[in-house]
Amino acid sequence: MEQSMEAEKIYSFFTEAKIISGLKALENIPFELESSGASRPLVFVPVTPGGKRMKRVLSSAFKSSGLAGYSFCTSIEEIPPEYDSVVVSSDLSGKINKHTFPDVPVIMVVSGDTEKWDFSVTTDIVILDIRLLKKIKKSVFMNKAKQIRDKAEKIIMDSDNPFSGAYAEASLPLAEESERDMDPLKLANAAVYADTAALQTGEER
Amino acid sequence: MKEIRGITNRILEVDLSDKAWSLKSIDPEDRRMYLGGKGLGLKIYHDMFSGSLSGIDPLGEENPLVFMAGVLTGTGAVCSARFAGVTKSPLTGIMVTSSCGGPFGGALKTAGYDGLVIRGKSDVPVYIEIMDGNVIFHDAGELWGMMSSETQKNIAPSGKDGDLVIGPAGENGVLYANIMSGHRFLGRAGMGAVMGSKKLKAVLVRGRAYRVRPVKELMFRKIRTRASGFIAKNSFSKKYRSFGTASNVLPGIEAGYVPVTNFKYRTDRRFEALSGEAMAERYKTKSSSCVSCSIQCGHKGTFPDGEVKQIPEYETVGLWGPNIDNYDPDLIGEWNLLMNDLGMDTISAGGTVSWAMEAGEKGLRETELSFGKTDNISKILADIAYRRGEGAELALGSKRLSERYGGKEFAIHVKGLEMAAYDPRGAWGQGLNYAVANRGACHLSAYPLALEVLFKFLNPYTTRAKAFWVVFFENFNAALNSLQTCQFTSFAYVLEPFPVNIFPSFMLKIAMQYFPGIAVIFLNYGILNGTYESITGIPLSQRDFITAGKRIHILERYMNTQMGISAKDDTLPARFLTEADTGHPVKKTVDLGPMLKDYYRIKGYDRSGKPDSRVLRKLGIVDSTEKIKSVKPGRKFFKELYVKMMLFVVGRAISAAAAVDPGIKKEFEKLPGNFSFSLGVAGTDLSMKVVKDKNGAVKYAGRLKTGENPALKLELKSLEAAMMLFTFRESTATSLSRDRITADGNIPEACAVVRILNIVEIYLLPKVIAELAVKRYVSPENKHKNRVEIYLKTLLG
Repeated sequence: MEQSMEAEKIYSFFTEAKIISGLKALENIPFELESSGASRPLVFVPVTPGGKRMKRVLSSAFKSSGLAGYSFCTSIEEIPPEYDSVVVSSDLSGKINKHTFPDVPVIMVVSGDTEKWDFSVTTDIVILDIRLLKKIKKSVFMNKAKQIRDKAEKIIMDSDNPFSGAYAEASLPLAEESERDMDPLKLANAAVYADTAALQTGEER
Repeated sequence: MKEIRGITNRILEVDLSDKAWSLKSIDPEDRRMYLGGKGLGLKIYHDMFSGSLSGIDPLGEENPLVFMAGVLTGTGAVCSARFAGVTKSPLTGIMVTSSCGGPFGGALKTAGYDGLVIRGKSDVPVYIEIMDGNVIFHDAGELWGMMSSETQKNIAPSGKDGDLVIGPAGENGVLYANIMSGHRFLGRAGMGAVMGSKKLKAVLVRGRAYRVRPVKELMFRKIRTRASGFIAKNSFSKKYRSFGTASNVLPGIEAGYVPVTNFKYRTDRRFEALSGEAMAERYKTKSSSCVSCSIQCGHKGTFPDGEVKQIPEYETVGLWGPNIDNYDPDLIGEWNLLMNDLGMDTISAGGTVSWAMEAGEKGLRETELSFGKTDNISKILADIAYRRGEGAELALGSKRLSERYGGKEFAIHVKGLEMAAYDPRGAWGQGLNYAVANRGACHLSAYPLALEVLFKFLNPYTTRAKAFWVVFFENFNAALNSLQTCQFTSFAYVLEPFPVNIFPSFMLKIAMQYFPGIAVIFLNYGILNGTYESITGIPLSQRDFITAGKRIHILERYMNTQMGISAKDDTLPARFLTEADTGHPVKKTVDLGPMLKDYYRIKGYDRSGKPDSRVLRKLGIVDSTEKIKSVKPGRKFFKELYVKMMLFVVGRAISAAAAVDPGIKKEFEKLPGNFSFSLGVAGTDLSMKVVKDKNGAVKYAGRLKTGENPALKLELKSLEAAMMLFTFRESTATSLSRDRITADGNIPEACAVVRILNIVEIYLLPKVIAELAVKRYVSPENKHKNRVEIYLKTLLG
């Protein structure tokens, strides 16, 4: 078949996850699971103080939600038989993601404790909720903001993909504003934008 | 010379059965969780048996001997030339870990290994030599039968290499045989017998192949300077440097913790002749300590026969002095040397012999031993080592003998390990320490006696705060012994840094006795975790350090419970619980029960004495042994009630407003006949439904029933989204735009309903609030008149 476009003008764009960000974003988890026909999530949280906090916040978010039940786990070795979906803290998403659980919906909840955010791991939904992000340390915050800016600037310079450029450009002011306001939610959003942009260029693959 | 940055993470595994060796690496996560030395040794042992530790014969081929250099070993850190031995004890039948300051640890590290695991069993006596990355198996036929010191002279005459040797006691399976390295020992619970059972006479490591350098050198040097300073000015360190551990004799006589006549009594003035101070004068002692030691508690001195001998430690002096009614220090020095050469633990040997003396006195067993009779002790020690005559039985330890002949009430052991020379009736916290220590009656597990008697921070005759401090120092010492620094540094590291050093003693006393939870916050032992971090480059906070200690201690307990230990074993010999008349003015027995109860609670043990599965999981000791339970989500009752009420009010108000307000009437007129819509909350039964009948009348129809499908279904995604809407923090339009509401139906109809809801909100709410709740506030005509009518119809129906 004859191509009507020139090869150098071809680009592709894909985003693998739905992003839900903002106030009370965690409360959307039961609805999103229900939309996928799931109501019994396995919730993977790390054995850390941050993990404890996440357990508390998630338990509260799941109240009056219509979930049939949920189980907290700390590692992949301890999976109970009954589950139909996975919610995983970003601390553990390197090991637990769509590759590990290909047949059920996987939701990643972003934690401020995670040393390196990685939005390139495959999940169906990413949740950014201020309650889990606010404990982020100042030094880590500044470091992350710098990493995001560096990544975005590199993509803007190098990429021919217009969508990548748009995402990278959008992440820059967010990262700068987050530094100015010390707003972790903006920072996490900037990271999502930058990582989505990087995904198109293959930087995260 | 090649360099090692801090740690090698390499374990040399030698199989004596096959005369083969291999290298294993340490998992970085295990390194972080178990630090090194004792902790990693236990973890390695544990993992060799995949968690099934019952049925291991301590003297069988299957019982490995694990030797681990510490994190600090070989770096030149203060008091760092230590290593750990880990195995299953033939004396107690449970795990034994031991720390030794001999040259073996440093040699192993500078040979390029963090640990040595010896497995299997040789058919003939061997000794192994580790050199230049190679392991050589030598025939030890000629060495077999030699004394420990003689063996050392034969295999390592220069004294520069790292050695482990056993004496005749180890060869002949004396259950409390030790292993010698340089002039220090892996002393307790029979490691020498395990080595002997493998027909392994000695291990020689020729180190110095690598230079060990810390990862963060500047940090390391700074901490080392601070550590040396703290040790130099600490009173406890100074006393030990001058007079050795036998300086504990004089405070012991006053406090009543010294063992007299098999622990029947707990004070005796004649014991003063055996004090460190008296021996320093008598023998003109000089330091003879471990490598890299700043404390220098070990001493040598010239005895009346002109021979220079090692001065016995406090424990040896106590158990071979007043405990057998002997007050001659020359004899104790001679026996000490003999026991070291024969290769046996002076504490267990002393405890067993004193039991035999009392058993003989009570007519339970025939014996050539009796209190105060000293002329046959040297002979009986040799008989024990060679398993001859009465010595063959005495080689089994006091527990087995008391089970055979009776006299359990005065067999001074816990879990089979003979007690060191501290009578717990003079320091109750020390009693708890003995009862719960992992390897049996080990005085060093937490060593609360220092707080009770030596520093006088705690009242020795109360149960208050004892469990707290025993648990804290168990964890602390487990971590410290995994770094493999000397336990005697802990006093300087805990008491000298700021802020503890500025507190007056009386304040520390009050805080530690009555507010231990607060007192512990002020303890600053950053020297230890800082040293670990500077050497390995692995960040370790003070909290991580103590958590690692807790993990290590509980892992050891967990292993012991698999080997049969339970709550019934956590006790003291009956003598300390029933006999109050001890010759000391304070006539009290140890009130163990309440301390044990507190201890179990703090430690997280269940009634049977096993660590709770949640504790094991939390510390990462086990992955998951219990089934994970599914949790049913709870309810936010008051929020549900509020939203339910608001849905009712809004539904009725729409119905009322449709009859009153021309704007709403107009919107409904545009909607098709029989139109109905609902507003609800996903995942709950909270909803309301409004219907327009064929005559155009709008009615509130109550809750949406299961299976009903209105023309338009508005659903708030969560109860919190409903709360945002009904507490007017977000308008309906904003909720829709923020994706908090889903609309199932036609978009124009949804927009009409949103407009209707906006107008209703303007009627229902005061202007200040309504302005927040709606996108654009437009005051309707006759607002106040209509509002009254709507309110009345809403409330009255």
